[in-house]
Amino acid sequence: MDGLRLGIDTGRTNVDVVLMNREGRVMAAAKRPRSGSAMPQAEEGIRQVLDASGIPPGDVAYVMLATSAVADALRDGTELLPVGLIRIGSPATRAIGPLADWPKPLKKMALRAHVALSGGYEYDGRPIGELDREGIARFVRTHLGMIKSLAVVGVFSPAQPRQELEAQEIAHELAPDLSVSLSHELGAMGFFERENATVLNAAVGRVAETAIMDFSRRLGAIGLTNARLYLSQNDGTLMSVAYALRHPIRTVSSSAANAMRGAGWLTGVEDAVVVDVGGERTTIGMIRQGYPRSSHLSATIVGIPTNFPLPDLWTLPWGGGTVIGRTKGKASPPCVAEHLETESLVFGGHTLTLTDAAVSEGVASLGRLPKDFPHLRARRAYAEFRQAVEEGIDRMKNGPSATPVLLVGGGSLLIDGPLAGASEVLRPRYHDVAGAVGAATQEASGRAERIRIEGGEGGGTLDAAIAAAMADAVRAGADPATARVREIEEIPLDYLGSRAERIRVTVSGRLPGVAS
Amino acid sequence: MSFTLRSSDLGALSIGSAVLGSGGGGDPALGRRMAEAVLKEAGTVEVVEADELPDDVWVLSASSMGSPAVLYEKIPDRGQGARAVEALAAHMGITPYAIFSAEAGGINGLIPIVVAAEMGLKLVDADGTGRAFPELHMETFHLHGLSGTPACLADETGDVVLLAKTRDNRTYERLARAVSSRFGGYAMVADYPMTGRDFKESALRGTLSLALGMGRAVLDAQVRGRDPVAALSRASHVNGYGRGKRLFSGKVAEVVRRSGEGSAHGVATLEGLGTDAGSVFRLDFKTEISVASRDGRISGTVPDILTVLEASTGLPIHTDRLRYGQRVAVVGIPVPEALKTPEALEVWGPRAFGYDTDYHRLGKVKA
Repeated sequence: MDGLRLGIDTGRTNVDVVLMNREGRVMAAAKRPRSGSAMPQAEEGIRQVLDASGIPPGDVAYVMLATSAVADALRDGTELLPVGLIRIGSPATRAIGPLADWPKPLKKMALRAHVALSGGYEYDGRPIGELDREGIARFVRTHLGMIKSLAVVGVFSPAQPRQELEAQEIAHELAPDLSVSLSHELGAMGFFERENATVLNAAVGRVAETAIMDFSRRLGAIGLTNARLYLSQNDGTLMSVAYALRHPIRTVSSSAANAMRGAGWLTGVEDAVVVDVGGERTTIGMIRQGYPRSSHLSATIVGIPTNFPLPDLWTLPWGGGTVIGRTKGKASPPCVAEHLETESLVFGGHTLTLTDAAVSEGVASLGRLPKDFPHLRARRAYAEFRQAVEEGIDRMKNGPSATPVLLVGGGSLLIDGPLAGASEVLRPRYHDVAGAVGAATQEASGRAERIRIEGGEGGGTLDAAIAAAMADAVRAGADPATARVREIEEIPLDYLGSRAERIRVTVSGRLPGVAS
Repeated sequence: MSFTLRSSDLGALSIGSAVLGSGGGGDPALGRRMAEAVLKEAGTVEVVEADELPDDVWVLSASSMGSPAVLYEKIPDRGQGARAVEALAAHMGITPYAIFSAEAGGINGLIPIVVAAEMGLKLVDADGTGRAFPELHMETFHLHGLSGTPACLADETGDVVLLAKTRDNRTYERLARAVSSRFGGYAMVADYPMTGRDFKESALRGTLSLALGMGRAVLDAQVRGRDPVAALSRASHVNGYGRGKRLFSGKVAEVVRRSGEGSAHGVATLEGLGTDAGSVFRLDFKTEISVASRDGRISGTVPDILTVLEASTGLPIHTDRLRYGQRVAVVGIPVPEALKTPEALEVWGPRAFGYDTDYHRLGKVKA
């Protein structure tokens, strides 16, 4: 029974669990409403699918977890570690202080001390100045008592990580247990966004660790003693526990990517638009070769701009629990997603929701329409929802030609084909646990970035970028034998006076022992 | 009339500067953060009109030049722009009365605020391009025979390069580009030093307040739930600029980029929506949008401002962020006549950017 895997996706309202066999077929699924902490529900869900399938816990080889622990902690502003920030590149970067775009309370909670030290690199790899090793040691010694985590951000470190690694060594000589976040491991070029990402990563270290340890204990209690644990990350790939503990911020919003991966897996369609209809919102994205297309804009996390590879998404304020108001059509935030089964009209409640509208339009068959149902209002709102979805599909497509559209999520029953711009519309079996399927079927990945200078000295090469991305993927848990380049992006640098381009490489590989 | 510029103005100013960027000019967001950081200490900057300048005072431009991608990674030092200005003033033995912007569009709409605030100098509500242009000689000052040099370029380390004299402004551009490249990709620049009298003869008036007004109109329309594109079009009709014309409403259907020539060249094709359904619109850009055509007929060219706005928010979209599926409005804003004389079009007409077409007045289209 080798290759058996469990996928767990923690959403805002539900925890979904699937058990899949070696071929990637779903053997059992569970969906549990989430109240407060997700972990007990995840544990219950796992017991449920194991019972349903009759599989002994010891036979499960992999557990893939998408956790919301980090996202929850950031939203509530709790359990953040006090961070010390070292910028390397001074006198460059001093025109703007650290964390300029952060909400004040969060900044106050997370950032305890900061310093800008000399060092850093030019785009062509020349050092701006010598690394201030003594300054790093002094900062660590001075603040050791008040910081629990260190963030190191160097100018052009994604292209040349050496000084950041050296800074880590110096810190560890003085404080072997201090957790250190290095910016080149966390974000792409763009100093501010990367600095934000690095401090966020440093601040959520304990939250992630606690959640992972708690979950591991529960796995032990269930008897999943032979399973290796992986964590799902923002871009729709997996990472090992060790890698996740170093990069906890990468777990912050994996749910959207999971649903998209899962949609592709369940339908076998690798290039498609995915429409994920939930209780509160609808998220539309595009998969290419089974992976979510990444956004090129800076992605904000709790209002903070970062530059992680996050999926490119178009979000609509429409979900199964969206309340249809009296004012013309405008879908407003009020939402009864958590109490849909008591609030909505078809279930005997008193609130007109999108679910009711879909029933009255004959798309979904749920509950019963009351006698005095406001058909006209429902029809108008439903038409608006449908149009918004079609416009979203069109926005997310790569081009004008018709594309397969995959419907997933608990609310996907509220919409059906044909849809404008869709060559076909598929709603697979297990569509309501697509996120868990996505988590269970991902590969591990790595990334690297270099600057290539044409005809000039310095800089990096494509080969160097590929080698670095391969090494990163293997650190994340990929089997070196299956690791392959998935994407190469070349972005020219404008107005430089010489020709140069950023090369970004993404590598993916299977987990060791996973056949597909 | 002079007025006081505050930190709370910077959001609106960034939007307006991006509009004047005509699709390019570098994202003003970094300049905004820098200005916010300085104004936290300095408080405000006093903005004066060009006509308030005495004849015999010295004014000079502060700007950034080079690669925006590098600027966003190697953030400048504080005081870096001021070091360029101080070095130029010291070389000339002058005391500057005020700072002005060489380029109101893009990030250079914000950089002079940083320098003026750092040095406690006034800022003039006028500039030398009225939009964004890619090269240093593309200035109304150049048309008036004024020299960009002496000029000083500063990097973050404290190094300052003085270009004491160049035979012409194109040579100045070539040499300065080489210096900024060797600096590591960009430089803070102080140039076009001139007297108040020369400035009043050659500058474009009111371009900072134009940008501010357009940005405020967009933000105000967003808050009130009105059409931001229409609000912006009305707000552009000041200081010699024409009312904005909505040239096209549609969605981005294709973006083709060519790289390797130093800037992001490309063509974007839009498909019409609403009353423009059935029509196709084409934008040719070299970072900035140079030519706009509808169904094969030119509807606008550089130097008029051609800008792509997100249809729902009215926020300008930089050409490097155009992508399939975006719902947009293309707005053309006629620039002042001083930018469209035969001599001016020699320097920045479509042919100067390598397009085989003459300057076309913006088409008569409903606003």
